[in-house]
Amino acid sequence: MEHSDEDLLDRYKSGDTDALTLLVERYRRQLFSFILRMSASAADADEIFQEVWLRIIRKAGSYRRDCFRGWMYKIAHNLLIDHSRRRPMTIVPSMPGEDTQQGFRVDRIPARERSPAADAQGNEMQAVIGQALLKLSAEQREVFLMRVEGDIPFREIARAQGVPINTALARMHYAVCRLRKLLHEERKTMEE
Amino acid sequence: MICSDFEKQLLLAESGELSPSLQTRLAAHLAHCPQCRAFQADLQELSTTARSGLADVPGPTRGVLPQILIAARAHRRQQLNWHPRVAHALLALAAGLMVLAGIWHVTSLTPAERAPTDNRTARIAEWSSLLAALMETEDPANESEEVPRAYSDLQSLARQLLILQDMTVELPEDIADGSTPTEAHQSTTLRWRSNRVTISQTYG
Repeated sequence: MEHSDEDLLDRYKSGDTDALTLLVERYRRQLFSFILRMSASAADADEIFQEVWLRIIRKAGSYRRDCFRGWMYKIAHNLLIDHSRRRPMTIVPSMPGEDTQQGFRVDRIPARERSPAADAQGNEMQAVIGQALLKLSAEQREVFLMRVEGDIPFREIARAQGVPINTALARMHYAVCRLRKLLHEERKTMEE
Repeated sequence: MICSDFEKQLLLAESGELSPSLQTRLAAHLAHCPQCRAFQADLQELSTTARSGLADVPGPTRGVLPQILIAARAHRRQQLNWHPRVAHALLALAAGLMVLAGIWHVTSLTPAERAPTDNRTARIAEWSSLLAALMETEDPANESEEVPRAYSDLQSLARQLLILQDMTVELPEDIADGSTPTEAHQSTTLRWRSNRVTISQTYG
């Protein structure tokens, strides 16, 4: 039987460091992919990925929530914002209709030219999605990645971004609509 | 509701956050709306494609994971070292609280409550009165099992009183260690004289 994230964290809190190893391994690709797609470079992603786990280690004792993944992504989200404030940023403008009233500045995180997932894979559709994601605002991209890759519920995404659930939902809806449009265009091109 | 509202409900349904009643309503809408069904199909394709791409993500650079695990072990050790220090601090705190509670208790007593314990004369009077009352009771020698204990108590009371008056008394060992009084002990007499007690002992 596979242990839940919360069980593993409890075991780590009780002194079992192997439980943390399992937890890190479980989210190695998923969390790194998220950070990589949201940050400027692989080196930054390494640094932020490591810092996420160091914070989890330090704060494990005070962790009381019921969704470890949501908590982990919230830490990653906060670190991405901190990171973007420390570095010169490439401003990625928000999409029309996108709200920015919360002072949320992840949209200033520079996007990479091409996602590493897309580099590594031969699947053209994945490459198209990877490229299409870069055309989204950072908030929309973040919601999409948290939801689709991270399998985080909207309630937790909203908590991580510090917005009402309807805002997180609207961002996801916008992202999906835009990606659909790009996918349809790509399909047409491929057919021709 | 328009289609974009149902599309948002589809997103919630996909994440398992849509209530059963709204799910029923959404299913009814999907049954006759090709546009929303197309959205649903594209959402599934996008999700599947994006998730399958995760397997090709390289993951963090070699060396990052060992550093995290080293940090985790170091943090555990630090916590283990921290616990005894906390225990000592808590003990010191508990001792301090006990002292404070004692001071509070003493200062919260009224002068009337404090006087008898502070005033040696008052204590002597108190003990002497008690002893006098005991002396007025019937001769315990005729009371079978109750005799040894009553006699012993009386001896103990008398000794405390003598100590309070800076007097000493030397009792035979068998009395001093609380053993059953013998006939010789019965000859011990206690006389009450105006708030002062003297014991004249005539041991066999």
